Amino acid sequence: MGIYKIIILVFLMVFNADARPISYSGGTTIMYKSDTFNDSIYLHYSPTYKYSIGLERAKNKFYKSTENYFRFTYLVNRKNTDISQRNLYFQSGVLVDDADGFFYGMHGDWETRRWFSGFGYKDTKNTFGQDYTDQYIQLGVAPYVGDYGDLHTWIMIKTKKNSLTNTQSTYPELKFFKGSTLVKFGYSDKTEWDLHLMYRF
Amino acid sequence: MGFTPYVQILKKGELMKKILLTLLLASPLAWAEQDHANMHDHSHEGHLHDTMVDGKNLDVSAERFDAFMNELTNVNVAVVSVKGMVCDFCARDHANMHDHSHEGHLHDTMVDGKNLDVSAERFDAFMNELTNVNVAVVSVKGMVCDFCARGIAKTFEKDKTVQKIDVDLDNGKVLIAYSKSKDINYSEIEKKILSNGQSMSDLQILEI
Repeated sequence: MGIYKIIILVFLMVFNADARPISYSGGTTIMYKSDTFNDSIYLHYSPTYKYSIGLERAKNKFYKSTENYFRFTYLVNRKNTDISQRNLYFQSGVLVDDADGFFYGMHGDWETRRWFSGFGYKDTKNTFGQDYTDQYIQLGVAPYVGDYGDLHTWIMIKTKKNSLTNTQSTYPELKFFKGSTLVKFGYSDKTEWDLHLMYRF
Repeated sequence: MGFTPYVQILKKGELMKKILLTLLLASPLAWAEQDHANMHDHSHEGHLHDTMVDGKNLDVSAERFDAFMNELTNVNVAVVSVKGMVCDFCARDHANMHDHSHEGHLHDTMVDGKNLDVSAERFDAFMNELTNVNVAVVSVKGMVCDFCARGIAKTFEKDKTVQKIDVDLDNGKVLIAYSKSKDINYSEIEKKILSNGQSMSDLQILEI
């Protein structure tokens, strides 16, 4: 615990910008992510359209440790237009069994039905090793514009950097979603598979 | 015998339709008794829709009425307000507007002058097997993906008066078929859209 958590808390209480759900109000989401650094499963619930709370269990491949986080994500700002949507999120998490371990960061995106761009930054304060940051930028295009209920496809390119492993990699990703299910995967010879599964109910 | 459809939107986002179907029938108008044997000896400009002696607002433009009465003599005029006559084609066709297809006209000729922007095929498919409903056509900003729209559908599905929902991502529209008994409310729909994180920019209600 310390000044960082107080700052985070103040940050969350001060921001009252117009925002939207992480999921829709009352929605629950489960996701699984796997990359060269982490395997994690994350369950979150959105009481309103402005934030979500959840639990994440992550296996840190670098430190060979297992971490359980309480997580809180807040949609700081959203801009809706007829053809696009822009979002800015604050994300945070604190270890369930050790409040000195936590992370916080921002991520955002802008998308139309055809184009997508996104970024993310996360700073992790580690209790059993070195602190580190994760950053990424992502661009995508939909090869076709599907109707409601269709299978939707995105071709993306992502570049990401982790300060702990000191690796930066750029690689293609494919994202598919249909109904309430999303699957995304990418591959790089440096970081190998990057997999993301999500189901919303 | 003839008729002239006329529609007026009374407040933003709400398709409050009034059609004045003028028929050469009974029901004489009070001003006619006061003023004329031949009602074409004067223009109705400036008074027809303002000062009806029964105190009601007739909502027919003087120009329209004058054009209608042109060369007519010895007649009385009935002015009938009709709900549900949402487009020109319907006005020509209907007792039940869904006895015909909306192909090719639904998004072109809404009588309120607005462009509905829903394809005729989509609307016909949506209305298939639906009876006794009114349809809310909601324009939504920020509905850029299927995932976003899914939340909207789930939110409205909780309402027991909702019979059917369709999402038109291309045009940013949500079609909601409500039971006739439901009083479709602008702010209620707006709140539900907002609760999903999008914003509503317009609402049209098709009374069917």
